[in-house]
Order: sequence, then structure tokens, then C-alpha cells
Amino acid sequence: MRRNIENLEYYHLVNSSKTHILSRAHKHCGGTTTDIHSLMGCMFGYQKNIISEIEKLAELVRNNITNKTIMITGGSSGIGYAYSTALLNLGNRIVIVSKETAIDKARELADTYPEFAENVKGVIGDVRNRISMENAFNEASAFSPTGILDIIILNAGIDAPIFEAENIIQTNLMGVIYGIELYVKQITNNLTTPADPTKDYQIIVTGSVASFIPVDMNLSPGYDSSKAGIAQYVRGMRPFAVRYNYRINAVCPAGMVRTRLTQPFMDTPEKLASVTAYQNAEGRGGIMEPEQLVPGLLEVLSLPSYNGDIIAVQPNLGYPFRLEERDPANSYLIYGIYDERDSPATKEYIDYVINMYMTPPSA
Amino acid sequence: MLFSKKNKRIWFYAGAIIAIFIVFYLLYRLYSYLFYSRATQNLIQNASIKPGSKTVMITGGSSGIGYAYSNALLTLGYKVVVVSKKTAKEKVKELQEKHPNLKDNIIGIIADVRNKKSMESAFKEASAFSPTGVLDVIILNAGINGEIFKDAENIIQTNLVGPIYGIELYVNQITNNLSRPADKDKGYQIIVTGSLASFVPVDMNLSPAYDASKAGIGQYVRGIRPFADRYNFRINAVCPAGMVYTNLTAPFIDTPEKKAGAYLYQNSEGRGGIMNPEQIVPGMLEVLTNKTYNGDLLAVQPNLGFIHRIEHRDENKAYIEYGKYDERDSYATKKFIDYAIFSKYMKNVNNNQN
Repeated sequence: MRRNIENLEYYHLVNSSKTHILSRAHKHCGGTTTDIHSLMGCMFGYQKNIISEIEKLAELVRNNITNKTIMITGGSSGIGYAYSTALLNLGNRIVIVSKETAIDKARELADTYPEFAENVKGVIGDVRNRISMENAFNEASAFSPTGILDIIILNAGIDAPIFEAENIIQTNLMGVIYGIELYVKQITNNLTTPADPTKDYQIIVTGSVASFIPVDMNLSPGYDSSKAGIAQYVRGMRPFAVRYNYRINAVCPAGMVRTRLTQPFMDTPEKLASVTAYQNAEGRGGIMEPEQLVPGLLEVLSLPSYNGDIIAVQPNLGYPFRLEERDPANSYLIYGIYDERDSPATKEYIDYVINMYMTPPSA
Repeated sequence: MLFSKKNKRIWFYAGAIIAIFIVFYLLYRLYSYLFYSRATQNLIQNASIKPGSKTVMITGGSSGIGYAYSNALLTLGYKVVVVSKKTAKEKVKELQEKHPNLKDNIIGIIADVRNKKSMESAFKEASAFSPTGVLDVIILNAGINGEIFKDAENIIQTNLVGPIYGIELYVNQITNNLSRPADKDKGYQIIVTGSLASFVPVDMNLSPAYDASKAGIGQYVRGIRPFADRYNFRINAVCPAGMVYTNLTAPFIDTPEKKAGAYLYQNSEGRGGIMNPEQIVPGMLEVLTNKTYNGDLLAVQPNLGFIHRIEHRDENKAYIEYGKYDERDSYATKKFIDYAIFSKYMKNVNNNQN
């Protein structure tokens, strides 16, 4: 269970190469204009066996993450926009949901990639508002040929100073929970039947470093709280996800990303200098560009072993990193590091309860 | 063969070794009995104050863990304000009858923590009960559980936003809207009730929104620490690391079969069994009296013998092991925060730390 230094480095080596090649493959098959080579830092080198492993992964992305209908909240800027661009270029149908600029940004994408112009749509919706979210969700579902979305990416989020916590929690936590509830109800018929196992329905949530540790320099406990909350929601939902045949994961940028959310930290040259120095100090890996998170997303989307996981993505340091699974013999000895998921007693207990929710398919 | 004369000596030695082990074990038990009882006495001695010299507000103080807290703090000399949605007055009367000599030291206020206005008026009323007009300790303990897809909004509002209202009101009061640090000698503090779910999702509970709310409030406590350090107050979360007999867990044990199931589950795989609310009190007293706790989450499970706390991080490394360490001790973080807080909030205060 304990990782020593050597295999920690090996882990980083594998993962950094993986994401690197993944992004190459992604560029190769999708043809995006983003030069991911230049964005990738911290390369350790290649090994033959790793490369073959990675090629398999790239193949998975090419075959699986295509022809899907994907809703992305907060898709009009920052990380959401990077996700939209990448997934559109892989041949998916994209619905961008955002509060203000969804339609403009969808048009922008359609103009930039005219071959995919039919595949992108913008919907105005406010995730904080349950009714608005519901309308946006219905509109997005209608864009799918099957009437059901294949993947939803709940990414809209805000930051604010201390003592404006209520709005942050409503957007970053409740807004995401609204989306999850709507989607899971749709695919499981109000929890009465498991979803179609052949479809690989998925929910991706955008977390943050704050999902793991409070971001002290941000000085916004409400933000920390919302992101830790949504990550724990994802981990806590895993028993349902496993039994109802869908996947839910949180992709957590493990550091500062240059987006509108972090803009207040760098709106003047001095602030930018100070924050850059801070982010490069003490092994933080520097400020990331939104495009750097795409390989992490693709890895989570294409590998079915990710479920109920919170994945820290910081390509400059070479992870995707994922919470470890727990020792089945011990229940919760080390807090925050392990899940309860693997304990036999837990499994038995949950199976019993969930059976009460589910009506058997034959009945 | 085994019992032949030749082996007699071996059997004698084996018996002697076992006897020595038994003696050592009994000595160990005696030692731990003495040690732990002394530790408890020390805790009570440290937590006892001059009667009526400090005032504490406890939300959700009318049942479960909050009631155990109210009872304990009242007997230790605190003036207690019990805040709850329905039964605050009745429960206060019950406590007054239990401790007739302390009956002037406790009042009950009806309020709903989910509602900002209701919380605000309760907070004002509670402050007025304090001789100084300022509460010395607030314990934000009111919480609910609920079902997936049904109660998420209510759970988040009660367990997460409710305590945040309380924290904001209190911190604004003691720091004059963040414009100056609080009086250091007063030892103002906030205690939040977390849960096992603050650390790991409680899978058997099957309520991801509960997990989210408790992890959220845990991270809030850790995240507000830079402020707490610089504004001279303390904030900690006491997290019962397991199931406690309360109203919240009653649905798990409302029939004999369910009770048997929950009991078996909680006693398996090193969970330590179901706790009584009174068993959480020593953990709370530890936080209350030990000034080194700040921005900490404490897992309390006396049946397993721990009070666990998130470790401090190596000051040269940022975030290598997620969830285990805080950023708090990093040099660059300290510098960055000092600058931000003293330039933005405490403009008129001299920064003595640099």
C-alpha cells in the first residue's frame, strides 16, 4: 500500500507520458489547432512498454469518445471552453450551457470548425436556479439523437471573497447536484432500473485543489467548502453509480488555471508577478492553461475503471492522481486517503438497501 | 510423546512464559485504567471555569450530541444558550430541573439555522445573555440527514450554509467586520460538528449530499484558518468518527432487525461500535481547552481510543499528499496571505508579524 519514492516517480513517469501521448493522439485524430506539445511540461522520457500501453489508451479515446452528445455547463469560457473544443474535434455533439455567452461561444466554435458546425449548440441557463437548470437540461437532451445525453460535464463554478459563501455554494455545489439529480433520474428511470450498461453514461464534475486541501492563498473558505463538498458527493455517490451502471468522477485541476475565475489574482502586472512566483514555488508546478486539463479529462472519460474517483490533474507535475482504494480488512484507519468502498460489510449493507430502490427488471 | 518426562521441563517454561504475559497484561490494564481516569480528571479540571464567567451558544442543543454538550458545559460553569427549531424551551426546562442550582445559567431560543434572519435574531438574543454582550464560544452543531434525490437542498442548507451563517455573524461581531483582530485574551472560539463524512463518504448512509455537506463544513474550517490565526479566534470541527445514538441516526435503528443490522455493521471491520452522545464530550472539551487546535478536524471515536487530527505539512513542499496535509505551514503561503489580509481587510492595523 505504501508508495516509496521510486514507484512514486515511476507513477509520475507513466502518467505524464500517458497524458502526453494521449494529447498527441487526440491531436492526430481530432485535428485540433491547440499545440499541446508546447503546453506539456515535466517530461521524463519514454519507455517502450509504456508507449504501447498509451497507444491502447489513445485507441480507446478515438473509438469511445466520439459520436456522443455531451452537455457542458460553464462551457463558454475557461476549462469548459477547452473541453468543448477538444470534444467537438473528437466528433461529438456538444451542448454548451452558460449564463450569458453560451450562444455566442457556440457560434464561435461553429465558425472556427465549420466541418462540425452542426454539432454544437448553445443554451442559456443558470445552474444556481433549479428550474433554469431543468429547462437547459431538457433542451440539451433534445439535441441528442436518442433523447438522452451520453455525458454531462458539470463545470460551471465561481469564486468570491470570504463571507460571500452562500452564492458560491449555490453555484459550485447545489448547481452541480441539480445537474446530477436530473441526469441520474433520467437514465435510471427515477432509480427504479439500472441504466443501460452498454452506453457508459457518465458524469464529470470539475473539482479543484480545494477538493483535497483548502487553498489558503485564495482566502475563500466558501470556495474550499463547495469544492470539497462536491468531491465528497462524487465519492459518496459511487455505491449508486456502480449499481445503476453509470460513472461519476471529479476532474480536479491541482493548481491555478488561467481562467476567468482566477482573473482577480492577476489583473495587474504586480499581482500577476506575485502569483506566478507563488505558483512556481514549493513544488506547485506553475499556472496551467485550460487546454492542459483536456488529457486528464479524456483519460477519465475513456477508462471504465474510474468511478467515484476524484482525480487531481496537474500535467506540469505529471499527475493524474487518484484517491487510493482502501485496504479491505480495515475500515477507516487513515482519514481522507481511503474510501470505504472496498469493505465487504459495506458492500453487503448497500446491496441490501439499494435493492429496495430497484424494482427487478423482470417485474 | 508430547507429555513424556523429557518434555516436562518445556511445558514448565511455556507455562511460566504465559503466566508472565498474563501478569504484564494485567499490569498494563491497571496502568491504563489509572492513566485514563487521570486524563479525564485533568480534562474536567481544565475545562471547569468560574461559574457564569463564559457564555456558550449551542445550535441543535436540544437533542443528541448538542444536548450532551449543553449538559456538560452547564455543569462545568458555562452559561448556556440552547438554540433549536422546536424543543429548545422544553429541553432547557429539563436541564434546569436536573441542575436546580444552575437554572439561571441556561436559556432556550427557538430558531431555524437554515434561515439567515432567524439565525441572526437568535444570535442577537444569545449575545444578550452573555454578561459582556459577546459570546465566548459558539458550537454549531445542528444537522440533519436525508435521502438521495429528495433532501439534498435541505441537507446542504442546514449542515453547511447554516453553520456558515453562524460563523459569519460571530466573526463579524468579534472582529468588527474584519477590520481589526479580536481580543486575544478572550479566547473566542467556534466549534463545528463534523462527521466521519468530513473525511470519507459514509457509504452505508447512501446520502451523498450528507457527505458533501459535512466534507464541505470540514474544509470550510480548514480554509478559514488563515483568518482565524490572524484575527485571534479559534475554529475547529469535532467529528464523531462513527455512528452516534441520536435523532439523526434513529432511522437506521428504528426496528429491531435494523438495529441488529446496524449494530453488527458498526462493530465489524474495526469501526468501534455505535457511540453514545456523551462519548463525544471529551473530544469537544479537548478542543475547547487545548489552544494548539486551530483550523483542525478532530475525529473522535473513544471506543477505538483516538482523537485524530489532520497533520501539518512539510514547510518546503506544497501539496504532495492530498487530503493529509494542510497548506498552512508553507512559507510562501504565509507571506501571500499576510499581504492579502493586511492590505485588504485590516488596513488600519499594524502588521506585527513581519
